[in-house]
Amino acid sequence: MSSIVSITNLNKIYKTLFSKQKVHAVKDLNLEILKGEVFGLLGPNGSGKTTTIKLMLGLLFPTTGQIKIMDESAGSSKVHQSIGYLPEESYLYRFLNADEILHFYGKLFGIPKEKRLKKIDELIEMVGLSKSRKRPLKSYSKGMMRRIGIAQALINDPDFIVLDEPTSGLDPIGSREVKDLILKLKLEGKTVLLCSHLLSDVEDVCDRIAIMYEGKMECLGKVTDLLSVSETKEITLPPNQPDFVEFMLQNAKSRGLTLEVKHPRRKLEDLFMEIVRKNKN
Amino acid sequence: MIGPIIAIAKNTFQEAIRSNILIVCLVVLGVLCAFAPMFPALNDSHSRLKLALSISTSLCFYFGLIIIIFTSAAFLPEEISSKRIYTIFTKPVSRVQYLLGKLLGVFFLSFCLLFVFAIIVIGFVRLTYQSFDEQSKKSGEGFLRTINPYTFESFKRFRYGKEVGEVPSHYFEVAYSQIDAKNFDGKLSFKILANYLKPEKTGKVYFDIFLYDATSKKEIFSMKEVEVLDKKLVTIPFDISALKEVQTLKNVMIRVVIAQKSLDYISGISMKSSDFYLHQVSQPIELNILKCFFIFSLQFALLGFVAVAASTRMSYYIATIFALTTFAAGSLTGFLKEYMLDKEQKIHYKIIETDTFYAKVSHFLDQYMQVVCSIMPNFSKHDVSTQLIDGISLSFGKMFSISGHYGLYITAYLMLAAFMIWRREV
Repeated sequence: MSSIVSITNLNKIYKTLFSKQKVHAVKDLNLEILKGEVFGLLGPNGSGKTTTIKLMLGLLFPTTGQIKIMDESAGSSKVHQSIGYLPEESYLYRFLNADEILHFYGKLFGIPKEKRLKKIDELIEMVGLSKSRKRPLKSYSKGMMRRIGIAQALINDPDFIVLDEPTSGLDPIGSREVKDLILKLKLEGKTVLLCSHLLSDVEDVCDRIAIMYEGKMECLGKVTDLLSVSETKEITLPPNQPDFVEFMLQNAKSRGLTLEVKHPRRKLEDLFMEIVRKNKN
Repeated sequence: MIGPIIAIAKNTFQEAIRSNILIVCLVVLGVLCAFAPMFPALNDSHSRLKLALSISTSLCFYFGLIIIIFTSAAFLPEEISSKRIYTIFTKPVSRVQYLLGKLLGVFFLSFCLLFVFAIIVIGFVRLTYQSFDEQSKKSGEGFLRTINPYTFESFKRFRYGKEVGEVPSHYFEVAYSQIDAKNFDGKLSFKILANYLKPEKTGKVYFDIFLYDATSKKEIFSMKEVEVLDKKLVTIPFDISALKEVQTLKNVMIRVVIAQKSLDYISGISMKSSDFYLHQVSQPIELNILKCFFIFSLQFALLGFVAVAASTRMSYYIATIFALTTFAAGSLTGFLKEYMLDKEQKIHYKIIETDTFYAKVSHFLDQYMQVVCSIMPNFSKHDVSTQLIDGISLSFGKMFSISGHYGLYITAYLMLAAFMIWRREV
């Protein structure tokens, strides 16, 4: 798979005008994001995730190093044409309504009116804001703001989508919808960079992840590889097999091994979704 | 290329008109205009019209100035602090396009605001005019189409060129200089209110009125035995447009002589509030207000963009102060230049000592101010409000020249702002 983002020896040092103190926010970062994957960027506060994203989007300029996105320099108009960005908070014009804001961003991409109208209808329907599309954004809840933020990030049908905390402020249903959307985008061949504090979200949708700490990348790899414990094995049995469990326990005992037998647990999110779905029906 | 610029401009305009500051200012302006007719009533219709124009124009000017500067200075810091800029700069919009969009937004805001203000002023002036009686209205009309009214409270009494105090007057003079023939359609009116010290039985005095070219002292027009009643305001119109000399007039002198016929009957005369008007090519006051406010809107657009340009690297407060300082410095440019010229002359004639430390510091500051005055846009030179209040029409040539002046500064500030925002990290 070819890479969509290529970062080489990236360093970012913040300097202040009247102070000698420097902050080394990103240290010798080398990273490649492959086309069509969902990539998770993790790390505690102040680890350099947001700085890295800003550098990739051309909002900040690297002190040293190089960032190439789709073989173009980061921050160029050509790159921005194919990027969708959802910031950490939905920073939008609160005096506009959903229709107006999407028209505004659509115009920035130079999307023709007819195509824009069609796309806006489609996106508003997708994020579930059809009923409140004419209300000014200042009357929106945090979750609704997040949804319209996602819609604006997708207005240009981007190839590379950067989502910073996309599920923050959303209820479990909204959160699941966003995760489903990310997977849908992946199926459409889009590349997604996901930055989140909610590790379960990252685990659910990401193919690969990188963990940053104090500006350095500490870990990079496939989620399945990184999370699997290779020394031990887990066996899942079909229902109603007490004899086989007993047999296994006896066998292990004779070999001097200790086996742990328990029922597999469902995720709380799955339980919640099941109850909601049942009540809906 | 142009699509994103227009989108940003429209957004900027919408943001401004939906903000509370604009509504508050418009309400305050409306209230002040509503109270304005309660200002002291003046007997003289010209003065009342002038006052109405002056109050409403000044109010609109300063309110507009505050609205534009404060709103424009907030655009960029607001977008940066609210982080909305992230969603703009990550779209295929260059920073120059962004600035051009903001500039266009400020322009549009300025034009719309000043158009609304112009309508308010026209309405207010018309409202004031409606309250005049018929006689005042007629003389008011004269004001609306005249230039350079010359007013005096008393006149000197002369006999054979010498002031003679209590002795009956022979003549008095008023002079205009630097008359632009293009603005003068050859019509002259002479308004006089006279109190005769010893009026003859009929209460009539006769005047001979002469129009001279003040440079060559050549008489170009005269009117003999014009009748003026005691304590009655008289307006005497003259049409002298047929005279060739009128087309080349630069300096005009009007001499009013008490006619020989009157001399036997009066022993003294005093003049009160007499005005001379040189009529301008007729132009409706509404058009003049619109033209004047168009120039204001250009000035505001420039100041608004100064605020936007400053806010690319400065905070909201500093950018506001910078734009207000630019306005103050630009308005004082003419005065400062005159002051410095005067000082240089004093130094030249050794009236001011140049050896002392303070004199050197003062000289340095003068040099510094000279540089500042050269950089700053000259608002005092292009102040059209006085012209509007005096009823002088604004020519399209002058409007074009002022537009060019401001356009040049806007281009310079745009380049400076583009340079400052080019590598700005957000």
